[in-house]
Amino acid sequence: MPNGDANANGDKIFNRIAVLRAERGLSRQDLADALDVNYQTIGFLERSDYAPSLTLAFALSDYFGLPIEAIFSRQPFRPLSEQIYGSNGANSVPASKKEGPA
Amino acid sequence: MKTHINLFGKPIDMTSRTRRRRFIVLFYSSFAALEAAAWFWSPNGNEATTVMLLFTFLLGPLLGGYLNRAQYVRSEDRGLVKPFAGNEILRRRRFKVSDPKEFRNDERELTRRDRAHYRAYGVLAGIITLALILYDPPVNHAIPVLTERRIVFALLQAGYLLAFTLPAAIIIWTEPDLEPDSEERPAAATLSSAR
Repeated sequence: MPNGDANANGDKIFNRIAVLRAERGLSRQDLADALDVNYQTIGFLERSDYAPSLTLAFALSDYFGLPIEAIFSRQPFRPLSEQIYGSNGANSVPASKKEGPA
Repeated sequence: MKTHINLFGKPIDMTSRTRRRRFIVLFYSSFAALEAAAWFWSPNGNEATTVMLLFTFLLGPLLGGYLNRAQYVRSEDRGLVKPFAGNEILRRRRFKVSDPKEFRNDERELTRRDRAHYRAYGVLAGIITLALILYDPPVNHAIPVLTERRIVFALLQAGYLLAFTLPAAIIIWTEPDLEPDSEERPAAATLSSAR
């Protein structure tokens, strides 16, 4: 995984840090304190302006209790609504209901 | 990087990159103007040397990066950029620092610091090369030898200031708009958890 300014390297690493942080009701400062980094760095990570080192990526993985590939990806993440409801959006039936009993 | 700077006890917001760039332009243009005036007023260069030292040791710490020891301790006295040697100083525990987190550079800041030094090194190499060429042109006096050695001396003075301030100035110049210190804590999601 590249370490440094993602745009300068021409290699962008996408992530779900903002979503995960919001789900847990954490401020950037809270997350920064937990990971022992500057809170500005969390903003850079969330905007994919900075690709973290493996050490920081593993620290995030441990903190959120998720595998690294659930947090970081080389391709943009699909929106959660699209993953749950499919590409048709609000008019479609959630996949779990389709598979359930009639 | 800090989001504000203290000037005569008054905090000035520096989150905007435009404002930070204006600050850098003001810093170096006032140095150039004062240096030129000092050379004009006193051709022997003593006053110009005073201007150089003033900017290096008194005004340079406004930018941060390289600081003198007195400025390590009080965070309000420090410049915009964290001390370049912050991690090393914390490791050695030579100073009692009240706010180690503000003092320590994380991995992104260390990357920025090293990249800024790489770029500053190129500028300094250019200045030294130019000074050497002007001092004694290598190609059989194809360039007329300067009778005014003062220009070479002034270039070296500028190089001296830049050696102490340019890495911090590059970081201040290139860092995008910063987010304010305080941020609202988002309401926790109630229905799902990413765990």
